[in-house]
Amino acid sequence: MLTVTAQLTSRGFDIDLTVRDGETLAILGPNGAGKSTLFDVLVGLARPDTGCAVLGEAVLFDLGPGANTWMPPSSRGISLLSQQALLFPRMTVLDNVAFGPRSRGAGRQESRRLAAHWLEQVDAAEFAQRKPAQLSGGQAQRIAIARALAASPALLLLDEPMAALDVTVTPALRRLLRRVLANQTTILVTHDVLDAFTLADRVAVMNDGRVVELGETREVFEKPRSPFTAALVGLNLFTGIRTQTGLTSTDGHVLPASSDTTIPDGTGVGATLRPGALDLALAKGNDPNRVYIRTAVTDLEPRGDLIRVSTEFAFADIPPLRAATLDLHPGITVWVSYSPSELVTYRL
Amino acid sequence: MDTSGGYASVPRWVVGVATIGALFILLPLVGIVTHVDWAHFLSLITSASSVDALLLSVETATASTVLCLIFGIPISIVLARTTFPGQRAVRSLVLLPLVLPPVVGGIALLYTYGRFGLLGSTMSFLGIQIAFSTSAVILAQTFVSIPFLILSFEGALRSSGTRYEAIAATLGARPTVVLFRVTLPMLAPALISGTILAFARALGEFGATITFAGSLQGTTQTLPLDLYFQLENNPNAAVALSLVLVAVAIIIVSLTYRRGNPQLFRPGA
Repeated sequence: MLTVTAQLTSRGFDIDLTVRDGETLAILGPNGAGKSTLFDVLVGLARPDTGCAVLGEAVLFDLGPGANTWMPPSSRGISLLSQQALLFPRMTVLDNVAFGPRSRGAGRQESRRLAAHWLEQVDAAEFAQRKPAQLSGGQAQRIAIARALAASPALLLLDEPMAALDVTVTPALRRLLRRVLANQTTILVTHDVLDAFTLADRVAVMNDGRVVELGETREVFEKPRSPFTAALVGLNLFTGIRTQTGLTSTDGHVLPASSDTTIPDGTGVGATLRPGALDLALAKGNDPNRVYIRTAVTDLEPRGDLIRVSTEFAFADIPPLRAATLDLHPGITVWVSYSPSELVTYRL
Repeated sequence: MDTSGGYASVPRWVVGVATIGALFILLPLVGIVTHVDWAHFLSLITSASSVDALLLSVETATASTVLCLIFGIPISIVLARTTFPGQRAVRSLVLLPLVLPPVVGGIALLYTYGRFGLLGSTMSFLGIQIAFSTSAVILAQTFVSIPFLILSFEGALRSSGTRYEAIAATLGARPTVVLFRVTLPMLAPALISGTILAFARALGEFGATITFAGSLQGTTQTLPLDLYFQLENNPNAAVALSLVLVAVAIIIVSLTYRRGNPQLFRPGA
């Protein structure tokens, strides 16, 4: 298990996090949220002002008043895998993978045997004698995974391991990671909701150097608390106060929602709306089962086979033909409608 | 002119000036060749003093190149990978021999390690006499050639970054292991070209050597020194020996390029 608290004032970084044994924790967050700083601090490339990290039995660092423990990166047992494979260019693939065990004191034969085993695990045994320059990006990244795991790390850090790869190879790599990460304590930084869903047990969302949301992956994505998380999973998020008929959002909209007797009136709540559940029209409709809100279009962009229409109220996905018929353009006033049963509130 | 595909905007007058410049460099080589006394070439370059000088040159240049590696690699690493107060000043000073007239370097060495120099009395107390010995030749050559190695290797260290080294550390490798298994192999091309440059500079060293070590046949008279003194008494021998050095230089340059290492004269690449 990893427990870490760390403050690094110069980078506005202040974190308190726990990763359970064998668990994969995904970390999401906008650029500059402190994800890289977290990795630097854990690996030992950046030194926090104060804080304490314990991985299993080992104290990685304990810094602050009266404490000054600092374990060098080579002793921490934390492997790092980044966007680039960074295989050592002068070594064969086999020697690259054997590097970890060899550095941790295993004999040459034993290291090679371990390396061969891990190459097999990532379906790359055939590349053992190649040099990194003779590999494709996807192959190199598979071998980098083998190299990271061959060091038998107590903690594995994955920094957007698939971000630099061709989309055609990512599904296979994702499946591979899913397999090898099963019992490996891992922190995964990603921008991709799919990665988080398929690989992570829990998700932490970081912003401004802090963890702002933390929970089971499904829970975090279905009940987002921050606009960042909502945008990530493609949902409209409204936050406000629960009322008898729905919620009053912080920006003043009175939004009827499905009734929920478990949440008392006056509780702070969030509610999400799928962009597909919203409809747009130029005139106010008169369906009693729908809520109509007058707003202005701010932006239009193609999204798959639909058009995403952003308005000052929310964004909606509508078919292109409908967008054309309505002659939508930024600045035009429209009526957005939804059914209250689609708007489900949850406690914040 | 073939610009090997793609648009290359080279004005004709640039090509003209370049041609004149290249001729300026190449013509003197022709000048030497035309003045070589081919009939006596072999006997000229195998005279006792010449052979002594050639052997001494190779020995001392090899020894000073080893010294350059032993001290130049750590200096480069400290300059490229650490920060300390006054680092910029230290970097400039370490590269000083590059721009200093070699004679000035020789004088500086003389008044540091010479009998009446800064450390001279201490060293003669210990029974060490450096000035005007073969050791002095090696020191003088190391002094002038170490900047070439540092320039080349430190530049490569900087531009390669530390990402591979960080990965190696997370895999459990201690700093010394990282240095020998990752950093040095990865930067071998820059190290080799720096070594060759340092060796070539040591081989050609004249000013600092004659000032600090003098010119005693078999002890301190290296090939360039021998050549200079032959020019007065026996110009034919001097020309023949010059041609030998030209040949050595050409071999050095072509060897480096054949290794597929075009950044030979681009320190920092």
